[in-house]
Amino acid sequence: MSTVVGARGLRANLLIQLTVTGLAIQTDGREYSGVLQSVDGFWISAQVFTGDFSNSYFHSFEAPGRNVYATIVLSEVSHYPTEPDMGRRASAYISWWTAYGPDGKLFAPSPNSMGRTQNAVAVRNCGSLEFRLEVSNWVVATAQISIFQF
Amino acid sequence: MSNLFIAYDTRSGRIVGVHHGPADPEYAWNPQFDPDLHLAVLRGPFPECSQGKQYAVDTAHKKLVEITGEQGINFGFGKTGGISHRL
Repeated sequence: MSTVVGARGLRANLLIQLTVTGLAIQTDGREYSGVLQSVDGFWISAQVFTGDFSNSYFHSFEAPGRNVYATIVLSEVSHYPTEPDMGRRASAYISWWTAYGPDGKLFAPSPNSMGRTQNAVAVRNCGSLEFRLEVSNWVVATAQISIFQF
Repeated sequence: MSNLFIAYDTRSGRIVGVHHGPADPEYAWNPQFDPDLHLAVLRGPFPECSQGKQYAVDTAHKKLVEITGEQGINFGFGKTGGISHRL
């Protein structure tokens, strides 16, 4: 319970409540219905001066896996002043994932098909995901990872 | 505590990648970097690592060390929170 003040100074008591509703998950070209079970959030950061550097996180689920929708987004990118012609870069993406088959065995890792632009994926019976933050040449960056389980 | 893997160039001690994996001794990280690099991997929780400091690897002792200068990198990882319908 919290108190909020409106534009005209009126006070009202606001009950903050998470309403979980059934959602449709689109993956593998098909649509599945599910109820949001949980959301997990992580942060990841990387800083480099000369050259390339990456920081990655592996998240796994026990068999038979979970239906998930996962995202990674850049939160902040800064760079240090240096030679003007030096190429700098920061990329946050999901590099690959696995899923459990009907026999309870993991599929081979599925590399993403969109390279460094793959910042979200929906996976049915997900076994694991790898999130990756890459920086190059005098860059510091932070990204936010969110994993929605259904 | 999760496992932290640190991939570095054995010629320079420069760290090219770090990886946060599960606390499973059988888990192995297979990094894929530039094939021209002479790559080696350190494994450990490295609880002494902190944000704001620069790190490289002492190749003679295969040990993570704090350094100053352009060879150093910095990294961080943590949980921001979450919600669960099952609570």
